[in-house]
Amino acid sequence: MTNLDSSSMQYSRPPIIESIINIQFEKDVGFKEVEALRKKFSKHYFNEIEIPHYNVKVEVRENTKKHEAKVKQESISYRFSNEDSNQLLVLEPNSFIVSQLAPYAGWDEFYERFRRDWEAWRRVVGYQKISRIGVRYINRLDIPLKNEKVKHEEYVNIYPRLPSYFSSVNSYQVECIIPLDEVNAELRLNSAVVPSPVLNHLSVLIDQDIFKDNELPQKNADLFMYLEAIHKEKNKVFELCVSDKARELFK
Amino acid sequence: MSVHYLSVNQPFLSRDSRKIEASPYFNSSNEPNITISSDGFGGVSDMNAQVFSKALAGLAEPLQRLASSTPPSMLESVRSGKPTRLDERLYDATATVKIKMSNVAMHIGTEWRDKLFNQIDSLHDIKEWDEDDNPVNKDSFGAFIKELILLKPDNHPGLGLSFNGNVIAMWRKNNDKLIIEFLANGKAKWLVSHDVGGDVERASGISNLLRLPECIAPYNPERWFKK
Repeated sequence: MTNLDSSSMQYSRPPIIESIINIQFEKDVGFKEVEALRKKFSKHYFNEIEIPHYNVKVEVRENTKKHEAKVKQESISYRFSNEDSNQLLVLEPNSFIVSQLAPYAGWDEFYERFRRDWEAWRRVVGYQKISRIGVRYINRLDIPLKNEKVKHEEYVNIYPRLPSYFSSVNSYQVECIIPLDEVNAELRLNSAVVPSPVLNHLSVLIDQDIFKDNELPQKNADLFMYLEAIHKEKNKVFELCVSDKARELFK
Repeated sequence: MSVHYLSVNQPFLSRDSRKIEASPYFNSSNEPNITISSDGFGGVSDMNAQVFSKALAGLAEPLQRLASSTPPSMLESVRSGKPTRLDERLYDATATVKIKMSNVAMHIGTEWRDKLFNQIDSLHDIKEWDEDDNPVNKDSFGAFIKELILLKPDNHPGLGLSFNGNVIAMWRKNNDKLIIEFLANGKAKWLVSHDVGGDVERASGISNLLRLPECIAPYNPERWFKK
């Protein structure tokens, strides 16, 4: 029987390849604020990359058969990263994204960085109405091959159900949108076979995106409490999606 | 319960089928984000209006809300234009291989990872860099990491780069050496040299990554790999 108490689940080699907290806003943040944010976060991160967003307008006149294209820079985003390139912060005009690539050192460390950056962001921009909160965890299970085959049903609990006529599956991808009553949010759950980065293994992705776009917490204290609740829920979802045999791979 | 096997001896692992990978996670783009204006005269929006019915057009907005943005890791090489400055080129190459390594961090210990990061930083040291050199090739580096995870050597190799950015790994025990160059196409060139009382015997070959351990097995590679 699987123990779903998230506090007991500590893996030595968690299969998380990316964890993301994404806060989106009703209105875009102006160029001026984005520039002030850039300066602020340059102190926390080793590197920054500018990502311009363009608006392309193509005009085609039928009678003259002439066409004209106008390109205008609409906004700008910044992507910050640490020296190891595994801690990322992306500032877009309408969203704030904190991401951690593997190795994942645990929720506490990830969440602390989110809080540090979020509070700094709010000090510069001030109140901005939140329109969506998303927490996404992308897990990849690298399963060793035996005789070039893997019984994927022995490792994951999310996969397509097929008639018994089909004896083998080359690849699959499934996606479900599921309501999560516990946190009054929705879960977009993806599972797919992906090319393995490890020789002699087959890799299965479990990508969970828990998001909410109504009745959102707007104050910091409420937001932090809500994220903690989502964290517990995402652990529960993950444990439900994998088997004990899978846990053996990363415990 | 019916059990379905996933077999790797199937075309889904071929390079061509990887291109049609449907997962949004793999929709990597190296281009700046571009949106098409919806208010252009006689433009794209007018064409769309003819193609989609009102009912279908109404579906687009909620579906877009559901969609997650591209994970930040997939934005790794997005710059406005190709980096021309040497420091940018070296930074991009270093960051790309570090992200590649992060992807398999669960198979690599922290100590080993830190050592590899130091080696990459040192290989890309701007003070030692010649303008004509090529930074590390990410596919060659990917092949090197795959082989290391397969071989699991106790002794970590010294690293170098070929003129075209391929990773060259070298193990040495006394005068005996094993040198492997990892090619971007997933193959490896290897060279073994063995000192027999002053006479140096050499053997070399080229093989795919999975077969490499078998190819070098006759030359007792444990002397290089084991502590």
